[in-house]
Amino acid sequence: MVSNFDDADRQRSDALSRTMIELADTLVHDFDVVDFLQMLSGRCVEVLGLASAGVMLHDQRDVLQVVASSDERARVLELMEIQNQEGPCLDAYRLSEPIQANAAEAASRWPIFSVRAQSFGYRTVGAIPLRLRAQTIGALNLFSTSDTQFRERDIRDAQALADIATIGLLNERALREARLVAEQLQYALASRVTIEQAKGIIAVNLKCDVDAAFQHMRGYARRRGLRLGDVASDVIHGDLTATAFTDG
Amino acid sequence: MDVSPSLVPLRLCEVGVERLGAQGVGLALISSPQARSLLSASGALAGRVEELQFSLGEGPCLDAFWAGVPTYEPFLATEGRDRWPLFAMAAVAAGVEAVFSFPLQVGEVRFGVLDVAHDVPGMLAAGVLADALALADIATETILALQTGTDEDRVADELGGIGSERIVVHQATGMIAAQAGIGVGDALAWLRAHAYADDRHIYDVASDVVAGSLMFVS
Repeated sequence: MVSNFDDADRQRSDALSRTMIELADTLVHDFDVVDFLQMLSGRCVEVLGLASAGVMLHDQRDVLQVVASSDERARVLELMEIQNQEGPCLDAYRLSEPIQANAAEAASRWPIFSVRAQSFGYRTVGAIPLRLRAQTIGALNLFSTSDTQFRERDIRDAQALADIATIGLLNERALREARLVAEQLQYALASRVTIEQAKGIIAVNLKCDVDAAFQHMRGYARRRGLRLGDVASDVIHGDLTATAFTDG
Repeated sequence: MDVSPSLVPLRLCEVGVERLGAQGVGLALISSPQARSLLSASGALAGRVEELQFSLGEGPCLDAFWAGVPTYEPFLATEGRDRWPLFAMAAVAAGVEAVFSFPLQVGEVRFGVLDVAHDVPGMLAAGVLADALALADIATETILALQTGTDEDRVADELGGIGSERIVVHQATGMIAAQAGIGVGDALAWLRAHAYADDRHIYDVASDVVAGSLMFVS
């Protein structure tokens, strides 16, 4: 019985499976975005037989930033960065679709980018969007020195790796944001008690009512760019006396 | 324009009572020994567990909060008495026989608890426990969603105010501390002692302090 897989295919399949498991495993444990994407880039090069690969992620202003690259040479990084003006990465990000081009196509589509890419000997270039449902957060660059186009299965495999990476990145971001809000809430819950207590202390020491006491405290906090809860806490611990509020 | 407290936390407690077959489900916001308040509660035993723990200063929900892990006591009347002598006695007298508390947290940042109370002893079935854990996750996300977008140093209006009675108690505590030259912890103790001795509600005594008709000197 003839198997449909030859050795190279099987090795490639194994490498891909191993990489996906490695990536998924990272998501469960402590997660460093840059290390993670660095690993992704390196694995893509191995699994897909590339010259180099790199990841760009968008920032709040929708500018693509180079976050990881299998090749740390400055000129390769510049090649990625220039894609904020034109290039496969920008197109993949904007269109949320995988892109690839041979040397001639690249020269016509992205003339400036293409000149630089050719100078590295990159003949075939491509990019895979990092997307999950409606969100696209960046793109994975693929650079090859071969004239052979990326096969459909190469694109599919790269997309699978990119998808796992995207899930991890979005989870990590959501977790970070949730944690920030939780910390804010924790602080606000604690400080609303200390603020009321501090009003009482100031009211007695300055012989005014609690509302006036609040105005004093808030004015002091604003003038010094301090958090109201911190000022209240200082008042309660005796680190800040009422005279400070009338001195201005 | 004032924003009303959201009804979603209450709805979550009502869903908890139905799905978990509990007699009391409550959500409390906790940040420090003094900073604790009931956000919402539902069921025949609604709020009892939280109120008792706040006034006695001990109980499974406080343990769950400080340890950051769920705390279960299916046999409050027996095992519970060893763990929380004051709370167990008062809770059983109020009709609570089992309590299951789940911290509300993101990583190690904790801000509250979900309490589930039953009027019969016994551990929750596996499926019910899974539902309770899921409810705690939903409550966490819900509360954080309600807080998101609020000015950094304030509790969102959607999460309800501190309660005007409590405001008065905290302000009175500060005033007593300044008048008597003592710390706020001691000031609160004085306030409680005075209310007890005069057989008055602490809020009434606190109001008098804030109004200036009652002063403390050391």
